Amino acid sequence: MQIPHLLRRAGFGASPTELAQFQAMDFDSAVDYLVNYAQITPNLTDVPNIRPSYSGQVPSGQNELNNLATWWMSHMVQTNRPLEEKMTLFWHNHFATAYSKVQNGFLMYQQYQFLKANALGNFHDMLMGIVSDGAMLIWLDGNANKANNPNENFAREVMEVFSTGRGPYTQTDVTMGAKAFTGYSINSSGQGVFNPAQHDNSVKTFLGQTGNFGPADIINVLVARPETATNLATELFEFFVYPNPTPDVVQRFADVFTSSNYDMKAVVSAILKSPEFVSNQAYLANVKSPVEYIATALRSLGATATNNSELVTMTNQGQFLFNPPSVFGWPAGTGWINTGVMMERFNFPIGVQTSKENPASTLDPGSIVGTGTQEDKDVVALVSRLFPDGMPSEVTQVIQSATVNISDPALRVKNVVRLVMASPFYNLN
Amino acid sequence: MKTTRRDFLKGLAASVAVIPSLAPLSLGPTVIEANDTAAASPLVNSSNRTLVVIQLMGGNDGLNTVVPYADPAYATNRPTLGLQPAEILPIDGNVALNSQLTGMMDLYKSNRVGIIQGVSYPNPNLSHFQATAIWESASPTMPFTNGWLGRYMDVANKLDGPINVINLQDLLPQVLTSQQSQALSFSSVQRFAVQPLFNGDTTTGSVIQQINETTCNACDEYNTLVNQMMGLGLNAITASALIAKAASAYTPQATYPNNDFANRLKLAAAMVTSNLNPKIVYVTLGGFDTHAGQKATQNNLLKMLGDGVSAFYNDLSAQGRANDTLIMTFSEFGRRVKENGNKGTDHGTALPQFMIGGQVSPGLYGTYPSLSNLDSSGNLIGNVDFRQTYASVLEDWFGIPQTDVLDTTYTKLTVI
Repeated sequence: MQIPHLLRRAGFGASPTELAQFQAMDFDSAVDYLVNYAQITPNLTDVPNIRPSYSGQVPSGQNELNNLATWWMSHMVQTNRPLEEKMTLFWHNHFATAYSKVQNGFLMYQQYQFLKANALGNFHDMLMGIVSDGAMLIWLDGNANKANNPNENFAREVMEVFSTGRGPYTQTDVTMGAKAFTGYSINSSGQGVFNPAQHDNSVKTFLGQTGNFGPADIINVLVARPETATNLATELFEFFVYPNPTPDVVQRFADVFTSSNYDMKAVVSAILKSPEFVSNQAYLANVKSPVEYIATALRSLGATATNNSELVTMTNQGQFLFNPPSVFGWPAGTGWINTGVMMERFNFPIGVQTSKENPASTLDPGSIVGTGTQEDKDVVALVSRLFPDGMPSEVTQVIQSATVNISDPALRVKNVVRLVMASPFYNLN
Repeated sequence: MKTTRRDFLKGLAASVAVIPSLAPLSLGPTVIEANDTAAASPLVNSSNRTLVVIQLMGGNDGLNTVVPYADPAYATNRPTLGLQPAEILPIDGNVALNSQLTGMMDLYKSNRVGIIQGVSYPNPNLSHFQATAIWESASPTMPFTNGWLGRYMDVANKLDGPINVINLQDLLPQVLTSQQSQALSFSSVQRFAVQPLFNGDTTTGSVIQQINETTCNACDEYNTLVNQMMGLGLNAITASALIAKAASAYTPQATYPNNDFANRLKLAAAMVTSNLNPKIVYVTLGGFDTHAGQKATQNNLLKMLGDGVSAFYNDLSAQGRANDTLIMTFSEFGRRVKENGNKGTDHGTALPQFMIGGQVSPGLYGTYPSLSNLDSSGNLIGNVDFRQTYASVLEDWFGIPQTDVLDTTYTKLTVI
């Protein structure tokens, strides 16, 4: 049960082959394998179909956003470095930036690459890099923040959302921080550049310290704040383990954050190897986000591509990659479930299946599972393939008795897949 | 006695439903048809009344919505964003509506609109997240993790038996979070139904229902989440049939603009006029966080708001429901008096609220905040507390004592 749990949390579930590969390892080795993904040669090299270079904020219609989201989903489904994509998803939510305002697929992809390259890197580098990220400069108006016209948007959110969280700062710190971040603009290749002539060189008092602060000074102050350590530790713990950890649990990982000099690999390793991670309290303690639900479903079926119907479902469940609703990102846990979302999840499994009614779909469970295989003959085996932890026998029995008499094997398989994925257990993480 | 999911569902369908005592099991919507509603509540007869909330997300610039055009400080602080005489619709010698709000102005002239000016609270918060939580929980000091309407739902459930609350969006906002029930959420009638797997598939819906009715040891072991998922799943199936029936019985009696917001309002009208008799229908309009290039963005949104609400009101009026419906707008904050260097505005404080309906006492409420006497951040100092609006809604619209929901007693406005 620990390995499927690990693969769901630190990745997007697993195909049977992958599951067997991990089940041959002991738990800590499996964590090490996932965390040290840099040693694995990436199996995917395709790039999204977007504008090839920065060409200003010219909207390209919905296609560019759709292409980006579909492309990322297909990478979550197929990557041989699942934790890399999972952490990139974590950072995308942490530094939530949306196409709705950026209106430029090149910049969104550039930010994605930055987050991915630093996904288990150093948090100080990450925060410093995001200050001059092209998409972020548009998203939080950093490119409009000039010495003679300060704009507070980035200065507020870099504290409230990206580092310390609410608490240690006042409106004066926001105003002073905004002055310290003045002077960025976006160059013709889409990179943020700092122009000293547009920087406010006045003396600022920020979080109790006084000086002619620039962007790096503010970032240094913020990263070193104890609130940043607890904020990041809490966010990561809730993402990987369970909601509402006690302060003493959080402090252990906040200490790793500080003692490792903000090394995210050290923090994530410590969380995944902690007793809390494999505790009963953690097991199925989260609701799968729409992206996790869909990616897990496709990965467990061994999909090799994604199509637009998955994207539509993701959107209807309230989550669109590269387009979060605000800088606060998406909800978590039970924030994802309501009657409308439950209905979307009842119906999603139809969209991934080839049938007479839906010939365009990319998945054909009949061909994936095969005919005449054990799964095909045995409904119980198919259920446990899709949900390797073991569905409660009472639920399996309902699925079995509803499908066992369907004589067409392909149709029987499709029905089982639909019912498993519609079940409450499959919707938990 | 342990309440099972199956018992809970039976309760919903019966004429007098019992509120289950176990919180996790009761986190489903309460879907009932109108003739199932019980007797009137104590202060006023609110049995057929609906509150339609329109949340303007991102912080709407109140100064360019209800415009203090006669104050010289307005033009001084808004050199590029200030609306010119041709861009306003004067209400009186001091304030005007943004001319994009023609639909709202038509309603105002027909005495259907109350405008509450300068709504805020002590020590206003400038964070989107926190300010939204403050408005939604009705608590600037944040002791409440649920919503003020959620607390109303709990009170109404006790008084009247189950009530219907309908949230027309993909996610559930904090304001509708309650202890004992969950609002019914959906955003499309077409999608809110169990789809057959193949032509002639008539059983999948009932099998999914059966899965969600399963009781098992493991289900109890992970009880909170699994039970919540199962309860919601069952209620989704039950509700989808009632929603489909309600929607198919509705024909709009007004011409709505063609945009997502107007489509949501049309769906709201279908729900209000149906025998589901919802107490609350919740709709949002996003995009008001105008730090740069505000004018075109906000104008577009205000046009959608005014034209949409006008069509919605006229539709309800033609269907004889204008007197039973109260529309209330809110946004987490207004924006800074002085525009920034990017033809936009940063986060601010006080802003106006619109109250629209057949029973609204029309006119202006509160006084417009001074544009000269500002707080230390250069923001307006409000004159009306947003909980005064809530108190008026609770007592004069829903007919329950405000202290059942709010922390203390607030002076009501006479707008309802």
